Amino acid sequence: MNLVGGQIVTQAESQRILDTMSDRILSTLSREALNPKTVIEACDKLVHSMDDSAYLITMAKLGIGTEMGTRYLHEAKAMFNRDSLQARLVAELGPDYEQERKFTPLFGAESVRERLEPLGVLLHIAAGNADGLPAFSVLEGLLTGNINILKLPQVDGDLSVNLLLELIRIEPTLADYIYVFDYSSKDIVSIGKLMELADGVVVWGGDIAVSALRKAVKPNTKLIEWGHKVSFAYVTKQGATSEALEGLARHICETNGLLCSSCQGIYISSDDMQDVFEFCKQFLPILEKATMEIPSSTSVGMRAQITLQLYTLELEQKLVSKVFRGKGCSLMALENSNLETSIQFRNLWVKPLPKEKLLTTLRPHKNHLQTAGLLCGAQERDFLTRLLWKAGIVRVTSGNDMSSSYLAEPHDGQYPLRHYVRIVSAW
Amino acid sequence: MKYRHKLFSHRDLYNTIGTDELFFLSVIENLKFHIDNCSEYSQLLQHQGFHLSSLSSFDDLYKIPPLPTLFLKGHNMISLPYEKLMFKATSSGTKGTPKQVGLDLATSFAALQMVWRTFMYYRLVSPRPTNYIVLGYEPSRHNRMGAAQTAYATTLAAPALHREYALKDTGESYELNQDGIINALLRYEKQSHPVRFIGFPAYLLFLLEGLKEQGIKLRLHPNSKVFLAGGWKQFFQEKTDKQELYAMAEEILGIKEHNCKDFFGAVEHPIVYCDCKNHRFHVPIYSRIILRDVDTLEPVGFETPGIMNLITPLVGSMPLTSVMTDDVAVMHPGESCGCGIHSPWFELLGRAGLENIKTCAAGAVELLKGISS
Repeated sequence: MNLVGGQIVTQAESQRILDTMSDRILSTLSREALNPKTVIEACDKLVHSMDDSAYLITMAKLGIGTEMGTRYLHEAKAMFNRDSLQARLVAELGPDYEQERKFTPLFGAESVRERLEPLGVLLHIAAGNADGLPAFSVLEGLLTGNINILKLPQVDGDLSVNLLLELIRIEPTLADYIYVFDYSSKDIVSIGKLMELADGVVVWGGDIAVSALRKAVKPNTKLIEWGHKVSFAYVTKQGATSEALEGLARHICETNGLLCSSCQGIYISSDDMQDVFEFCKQFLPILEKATMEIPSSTSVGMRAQITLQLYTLELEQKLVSKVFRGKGCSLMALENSNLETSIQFRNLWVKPLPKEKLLTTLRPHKNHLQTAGLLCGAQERDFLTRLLWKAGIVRVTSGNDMSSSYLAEPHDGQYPLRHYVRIVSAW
Repeated sequence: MKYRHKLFSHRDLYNTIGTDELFFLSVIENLKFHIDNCSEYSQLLQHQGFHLSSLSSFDDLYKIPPLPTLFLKGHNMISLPYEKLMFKATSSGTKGTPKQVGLDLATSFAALQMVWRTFMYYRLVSPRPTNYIVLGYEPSRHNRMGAAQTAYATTLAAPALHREYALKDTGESYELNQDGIINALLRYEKQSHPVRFIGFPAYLLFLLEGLKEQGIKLRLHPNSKVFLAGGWKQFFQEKTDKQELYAMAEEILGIKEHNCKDFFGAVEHPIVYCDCKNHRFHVPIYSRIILRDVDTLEPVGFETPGIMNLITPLVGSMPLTSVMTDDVAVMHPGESCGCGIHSPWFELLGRAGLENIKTCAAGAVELLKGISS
């Protein structure tokens, strides 16, 4: 679906509009800037007037069950109501984000004025891995007063466009700040034209997408990258309590290893394989129990793939020490300490990684690390948290909370809104 | 390998029940050869707790640990000195290092017998000079893909007057030769010779759609044929699409459905499966297929989806006796087809895979591999 000026337009029309985009944008830019309050109020109205059942149906089309869908809606409502959004702006841009700051600089004679201004035009190139994420990215752009052009990912149902349409219905002035185009990623000419219009390109996606854009984006355009990340759990002897492990197992089953914050594997704080085996024996029944409690709707093709991968690994004796198979889940005890993604869907690796080797093992993965679920004793926690931060991890949580978030939490170690504004001054 | 010779010289292409015992003996003979000549394979079997003595009858064939395609890609296991391998082919997979399969002279001879018997059974061998449209790669020195070689070999079933390739060799790479194909077809139509199309179903579909767009309808020689192999699932969502493709072939090329043949095979299991008149793949005497449960890998019976485990004693050069592809299929009893062939037939349901699954963690896989290896 293509969305221009608050209207859904056809693919053919969207191509024609491309040629007049520059004029449209100049006209919007010449007007009074978009006020964050207008956006916040519209969002607040949206979350309070949301027809849950309609969104549940849209989400069902994307394969999200009612229970998960209801939870998503609940989370979305908590995140996008007036208070939350205001708190987020304050946290990220400072309490006086709307005000002009007048002051006399140190050693200066005259007073100067400083304020935040939007970057201008943001082109969002969204990935299809998180539902509704494209709309979320646009919203961040709106909150900072930018004109937003969204290139839709291939898979999005119509969730994002419907959300944005609803927002425009509530607040018609937003129509000039939201454009959605459904060009194929291969349509380099059209995407190139959109990039010409943008002050900043926001890319969500894997390394392939990020590298492609690094090459394509011109030096006069800012590139803001939200790349894919890898997360894992780090478990010490003291931390392997039943309660902590149950929490980790729940997290594994709820996210199926599919999110950037999903646990791909478990590092055991030891260099003795015997400890790794012992852990697998202890954790497998806990994981099995969680697997039964949180059923997964894995397709036949996917199950076949997982089984083939596991079996192949079993044959690769050089690498695998032992595969612990459970019902609908498995743990692979491996001798090497390399960080890797797992087979996913409740199939994880377990590897030894003594804390002395943590830094050297993880450093090569700089900028790809996100969350460490840290299961350790209270006395160890501070030291290990700092060690993980040093290694490149940006979030340290309990096993249960690896994919949870808190209000105004930084995204991959950054405050996103700060990337979408510039600080202007006059004196 | 006397039992292999016996099996591959057998005349009754689909008499699987009558050849079960011979097949079993032939597999034992083949396995023993690989165990004696390929130490990596024999170690692997040992590690999986398998011994030749575990096989006491035909019903034990499932006990041979099957080698998955994924595993074969990373291991070049051979049971003969490398110089003895002649026909080398790489699997057409696009990911990972291409795996090379090589066949020795004796294996190639047995394979030739099989191809000859299959083609004769379906009356696909013809002495009439024939024009060919190859919907695939032009063979060349820099292309060792199995698909290109098989396609070329198929043009030998009837003497070739001319071969036109959809992907033409430019010396360094390939370019799409759509105009060349269309011109060749217009030329072929005027000649009084049959035309044979060989290649991937998807390419045929694209060609037919292209012809339709340009308003071209051909009446090719009535003995013209379409040979298709592989790649249905990639572009076709539903089973009925196969029928639609045949209908289009009749409408646009004038080739009747009974002249359209579909083939199934894999580089790591070089057995020819040709579809019957109902377009189903029956198991020939040269192989047996066990479908395995998608979770436990235990054998499953008829009408239950499973991962394909293909068994054949054909190959002497590499331990490909029992392999497991990424195909998920379902087996049906032979009689349920109604074509008259009694051996069971299989229906391909799709490929094992996580494609189209939304994941951001997996996006980092390639990069992580680069660092860890």
